Amino acid sequence: MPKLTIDGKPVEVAAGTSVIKAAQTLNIPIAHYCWHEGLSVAGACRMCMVEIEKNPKLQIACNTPVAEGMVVHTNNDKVKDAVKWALDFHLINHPLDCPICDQAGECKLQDYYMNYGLYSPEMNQRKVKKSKAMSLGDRVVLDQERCILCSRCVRFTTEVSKTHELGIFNRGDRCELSTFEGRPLNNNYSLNTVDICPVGALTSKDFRFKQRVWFLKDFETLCNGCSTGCNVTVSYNQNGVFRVRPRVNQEVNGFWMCDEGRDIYKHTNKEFRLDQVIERNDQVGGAAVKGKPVALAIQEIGKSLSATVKKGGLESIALVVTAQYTVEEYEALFELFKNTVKSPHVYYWKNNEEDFDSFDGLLNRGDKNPNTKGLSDTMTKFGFKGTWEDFEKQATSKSFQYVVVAGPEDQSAYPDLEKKLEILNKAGEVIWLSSCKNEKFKNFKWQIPMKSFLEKEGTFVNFKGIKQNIKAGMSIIPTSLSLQEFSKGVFESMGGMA
Amino acid sequence: MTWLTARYEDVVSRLEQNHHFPWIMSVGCCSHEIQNSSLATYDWQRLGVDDVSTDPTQSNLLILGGWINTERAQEIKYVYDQMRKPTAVIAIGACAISGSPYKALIDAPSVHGEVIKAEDIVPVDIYVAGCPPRPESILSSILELQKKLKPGPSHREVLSEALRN
Amino acid sequence: MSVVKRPEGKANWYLPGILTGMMITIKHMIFNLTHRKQMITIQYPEERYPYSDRFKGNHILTVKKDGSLRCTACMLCATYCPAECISITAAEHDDPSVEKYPISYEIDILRCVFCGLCEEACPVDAIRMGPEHQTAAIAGENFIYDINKLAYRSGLKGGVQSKVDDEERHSRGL
Repeated sequence: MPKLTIDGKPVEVAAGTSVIKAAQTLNIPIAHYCWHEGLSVAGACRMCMVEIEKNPKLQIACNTPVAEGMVVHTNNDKVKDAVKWALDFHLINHPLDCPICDQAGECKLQDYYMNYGLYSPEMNQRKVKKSKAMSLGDRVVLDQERCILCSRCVRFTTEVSKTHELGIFNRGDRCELSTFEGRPLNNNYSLNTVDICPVGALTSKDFRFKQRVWFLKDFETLCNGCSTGCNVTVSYNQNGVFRVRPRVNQEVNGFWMCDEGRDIYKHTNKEFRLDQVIERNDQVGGAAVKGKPVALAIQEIGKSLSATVKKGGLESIALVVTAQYTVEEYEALFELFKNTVKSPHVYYWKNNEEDFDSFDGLLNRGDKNPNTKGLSDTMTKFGFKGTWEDFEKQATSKSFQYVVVAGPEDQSAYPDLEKKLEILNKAGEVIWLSSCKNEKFKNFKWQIPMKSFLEKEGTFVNFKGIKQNIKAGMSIIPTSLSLQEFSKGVFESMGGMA
Repeated sequence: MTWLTARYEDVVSRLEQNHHFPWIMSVGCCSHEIQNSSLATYDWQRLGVDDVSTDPTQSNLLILGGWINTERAQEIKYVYDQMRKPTAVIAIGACAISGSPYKALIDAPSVHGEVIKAEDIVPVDIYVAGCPPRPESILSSILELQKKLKPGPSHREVLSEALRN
Repeated sequence: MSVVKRPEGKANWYLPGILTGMMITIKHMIFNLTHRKQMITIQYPEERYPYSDRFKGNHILTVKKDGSLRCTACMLCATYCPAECISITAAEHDDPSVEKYPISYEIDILRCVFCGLCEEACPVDAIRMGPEHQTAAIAGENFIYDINKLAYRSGLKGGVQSKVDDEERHSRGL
């Protein structure tokens, strides 16, 4: 364990650690573009220059391993001068695109220019023109002029996604990043290159020009796209959610997330959400009655449930759950069914059975629910064993009076939704709890708006059994409920029958 | 000969279309512009706005300017209720219209008070955008008011058209 | 106690004192009648006060030579605006050298405080505060100015052009 001193602060790190990492443990910032913790060392940008005593020249911190008794200076005049000139060379051909560049506001070039910049540039040559707004694939746009050739994205495609789409071609100031002929950047991890791009060269087609980043607020949550449970940061403002980016968690997802997971915010935005109670009114020929207050609707549901319990006994109310809710919500709902409704008919609705156990080798799993493990654990805890097959058998042999369905939040993860809705419809009067609206639900007796995963607190258990908390970060549909609130409301309006 | 049989109120309202008795409730920089438009350079008496009256019960034009807080809102309502009907209301400047220079107070009312929009207290006829608006804008608001009270070309327009030809 | 002693002979006569006082008024009246050009009152709707070019009046969006908007929808004006009256929606342009342009640019004129910070924030000289003074309007009229009103209103005669054109800037390598 070598001991060294960085800017006068002593630190002890494992042998073989680079100086930049050792400085990171002390929270000493060292400017860098090409170095990334999850990728190999390139040493291309020459920004992380530090002065090491007894060493005649400045060294790059990313590729210098620590040694016993090393004394490092990261912020003296010599270093600042070196970084200033390195930065100026980076900016020789960089266009003044900041007003239209999506990266502006979180761009490392801007940040370091504020710290180290040479405010009177001495280059008066013309800038080299390269192509702008090149589409690299389905999700990524490249601006070659803005690229500073740090090669982070190239290393990502060779080392992490192992798809080898990107390369740096030509030499000198004609050097440019591009894809190979006929091989667009279309892998499922392509948007990570946008995240790690320190400048605005790679931008996401989905987020492009939607918002300036300084109008967005961030909060931390989990991706609910599959059972991996990647840690993500969600950017939103008053108009809704705009993007999802990965957050470092070495245990779960490392530095990355898949492109599929970046679309999870789409079904949480207002235009796709069920924003009010919809009731099918049989007295006016099955027309939908919208806008009943949620509390009133739940009271009516509770009354009709308790009437059914009194009249029809135990066999008349079923509960179908999907694995898209939190552990706490399942507990509240199962509590209601075990102790108040006293129905043993609790069934687990498993989606896309064919590719349920598939895995792409990196992060993405075929199980498109965030909490499959949490649900099965909670079901065993309460002693429920029913599966969808059992429900289908029951539904065909005898009809239930009411079927409460904790429906999917993300309907795109349920490819056979329509077929299953028909079975549900045959089974009995459906009380549908969901956060998304859909025309196909119009035959259901009740549709109650539910909170999306961005608006509630709780626990998701991922496929490994790692419990992770989500926090309520924002409010999109204020009238929507969590399953706890629903269960509590139904329990109260059923008169607390025990 | 209709004027012979006209009622007193009709005659008065006909006369008042081009004759306003202003009651000014303004603070801050807008009040300077309002004063300026009443003085010699801009001289709103030419357009039929009379001298500033000393009693709200005698005036029929309420001119609002400046930041309206809770106390001023009460005062404005109190004065507006006393004024002669029909009362015209002109809101001048961004403070009175939308409160935007004090938007921090709109978002989060604090100990400094809160901002109330003029249209939330009294029905506003004419808005004069600006911060503060130039006296021309205030004069044009009076022309707009006269146009609202009596639609169609005004005497001034007819006369200037005739003089041009 | 001081007592003002008025000259007895003159004080008995009413008119001379009045006329002496009225002389100033009459002098002004005659001066104004004979020197209409130097009269201090501005006959507003017919006469207009000439404002300087730096007057901060209603906003103008400048246009390029081909008549399209100069604005690149960078939203710096909307960021800088202390009254938060500007709202812009950006979109991708077909021409990659333009790249980004506004499909809607709206100024809520009732919120605007005419401070001119948008003009200062703009990196491409796309928004200016024009020479027209702010207009008064009847309640219920449209106070949210859109691109049509800001760039192509009739007073601007097809749009105001900026001095430096994009092509010149590109050819100079800026």
